[in-house]
Amino acid sequence: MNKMRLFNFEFKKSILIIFLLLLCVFQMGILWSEKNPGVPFPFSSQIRFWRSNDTVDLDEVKELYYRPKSILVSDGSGDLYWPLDSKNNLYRSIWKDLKDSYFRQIIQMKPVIGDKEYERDWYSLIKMKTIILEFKNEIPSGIIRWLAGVDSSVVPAVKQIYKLAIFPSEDINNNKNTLYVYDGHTVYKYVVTIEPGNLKKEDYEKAITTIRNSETIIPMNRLIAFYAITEEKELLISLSDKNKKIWDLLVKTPDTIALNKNNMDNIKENLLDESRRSIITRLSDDLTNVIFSDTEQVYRYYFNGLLDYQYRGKEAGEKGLVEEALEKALMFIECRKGDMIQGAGIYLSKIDETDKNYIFIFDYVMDDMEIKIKKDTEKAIHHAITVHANRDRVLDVKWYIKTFAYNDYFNEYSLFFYDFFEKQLILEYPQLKSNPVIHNISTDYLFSENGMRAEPYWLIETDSKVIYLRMRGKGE
Amino acid sequence: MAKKLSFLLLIIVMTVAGTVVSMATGDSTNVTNDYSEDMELPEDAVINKGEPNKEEYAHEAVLDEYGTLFCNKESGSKVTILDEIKINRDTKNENIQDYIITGMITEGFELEDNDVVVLMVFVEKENGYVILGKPVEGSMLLFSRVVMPFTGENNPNNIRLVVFPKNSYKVLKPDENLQITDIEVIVKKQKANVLEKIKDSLINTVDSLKQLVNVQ
Repeated sequence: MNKMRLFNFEFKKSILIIFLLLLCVFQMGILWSEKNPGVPFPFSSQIRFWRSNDTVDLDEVKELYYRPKSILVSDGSGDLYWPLDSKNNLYRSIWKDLKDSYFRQIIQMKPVIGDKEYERDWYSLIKMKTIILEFKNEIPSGIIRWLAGVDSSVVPAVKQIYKLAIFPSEDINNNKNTLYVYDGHTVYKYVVTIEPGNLKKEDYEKAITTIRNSETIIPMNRLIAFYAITEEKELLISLSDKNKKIWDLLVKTPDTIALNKNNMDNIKENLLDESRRSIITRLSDDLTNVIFSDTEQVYRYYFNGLLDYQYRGKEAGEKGLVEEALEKALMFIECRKGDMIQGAGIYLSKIDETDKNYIFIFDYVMDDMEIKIKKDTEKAIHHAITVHANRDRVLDVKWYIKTFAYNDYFNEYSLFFYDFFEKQLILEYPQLKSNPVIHNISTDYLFSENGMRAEPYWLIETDSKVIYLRMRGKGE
Repeated sequence: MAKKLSFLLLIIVMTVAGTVVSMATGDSTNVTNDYSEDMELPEDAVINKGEPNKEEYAHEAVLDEYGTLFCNKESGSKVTILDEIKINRDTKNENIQDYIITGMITEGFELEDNDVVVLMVFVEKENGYVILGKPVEGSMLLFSRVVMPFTGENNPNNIRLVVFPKNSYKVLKPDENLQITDIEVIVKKQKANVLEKIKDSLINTVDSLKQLVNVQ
């Protein structure tokens, strides 16, 4: 009996020792892969709770980072355009057709040469009955090819796409749609096939003929047709008396990455990559920023949500193709964004390039208005994210990590350009009277770098500077 | 027992007092009036009776004074205050007679501080001029919405723009501070589509038949 008891006890002890041994090996494995990110086999990748490059499927999310600045309907009046709201079903259907079908066809086919004079003149085309899609800046066709999922061996005839006009009535075939693609210099004509699931030709035609009946859309006019204060032929302004309801926004740094001593693990988990355990952490004495660094990279994170990432070897890596660099930039954002950013979307606004890398500028967008950062000390406007990247890696990032919601206040705002110009702009900037050259006008949200409220502003780009003036609501 | 009664009394008194206070509606006007009537004013006090200290600008008064000058067919001017004048159809509206007139103040024209330019739009009608829309003002840009009264190529709208600095309204001189510019605007009639043409011709036929019946 005693022997039996002793056996049981020994058996239990053995099981416990084996369990502890296994736990020890497991722990060692975790530490090994954490300390040496380049180990040949991913010991613990399956049990990670944080997002990494391996867990993000960029193909699924890449299309969420680009969209047109506007989709305008012209009923042939000449200088009048109806901008569609991005929540509008027609906007979504047109954009779906382009992104899922027409862009692929544009990349794969050769353009037809337009034989009529108006077919080669963008400004004549957009005065006709058409639907116009505009990007904020030129998008290289390599990026369109990558986003449309076309094989990289296909060489597009058009180098970049800036604007595009859809002419549903031009081709007599019911399954064909005519597109004019403008790259900023030349107009290319494409006759694309209307594929199953796309909007039908009559849907496009109906949209053009009935748009005037829409009571919710505030039409826009071309500024140059009324005042000689711009050279931009396509700059649109409103001459309507209708008001637009705009909410103030509550802007916060996500709670998960709030900067305080007790939240360092969360910050590391959300903002750093896999090498987070080997990194040195230094919290500033005044608790306004923290630096995470190792031999290759430096992350500086500020209390106001600004993440400043720098790769130490800025000269390292090949420049590569723009879409390869964009892939790296999107991966950086997507791995960190998670569910932290609510309320606003992140969209690619501009692409620049230097000799050695590409610069991608992204903006937050909510209710079709860009949300930008106002640095009161510099009197300058900053974008949400600026990424320098090449084909191998991200080299530099400045990112205001913020989350957005409607605040407790809204007002009705007049978009009537004349009122704004005479009653606000000229009064505050009388020097404009002598040189009133305007390059761009927009209404955007602005918030102070350290503030929590975003308000609607007029942004005016002139020859010398960018002017921003808070919009005046009803009763203000 | 006395304690209980006094407590009950207290409750009743407080309730009545509360009711009286809550029902009271203060008539502050009377109080103020009483006070101001009794108040002695210093001898040198100036009482503002709401009358303007100086004569204010009024479009109607300017029209009364300069109507003959503005509306004289022979009137003209050498001075240019408003430049880059554009007359566009207001395409937002279906009405083909809705127009927008815009212009910019000439670069070299010096306007006093806080002064603005006034634009009045007239149209020639029955051997005279009548004002179109409301006069508008601007310190750099001008914007006026008007409805052209005449349509058709044989029926042009002879528009007259009268422009002057608001502060100079007391002395307006064509060669100094008054711009008078005449522009002809032709409002082309919309081409009716085939269905509308058939409909119109049917209406005309019915009208003709009715007239014929009435005559007989």
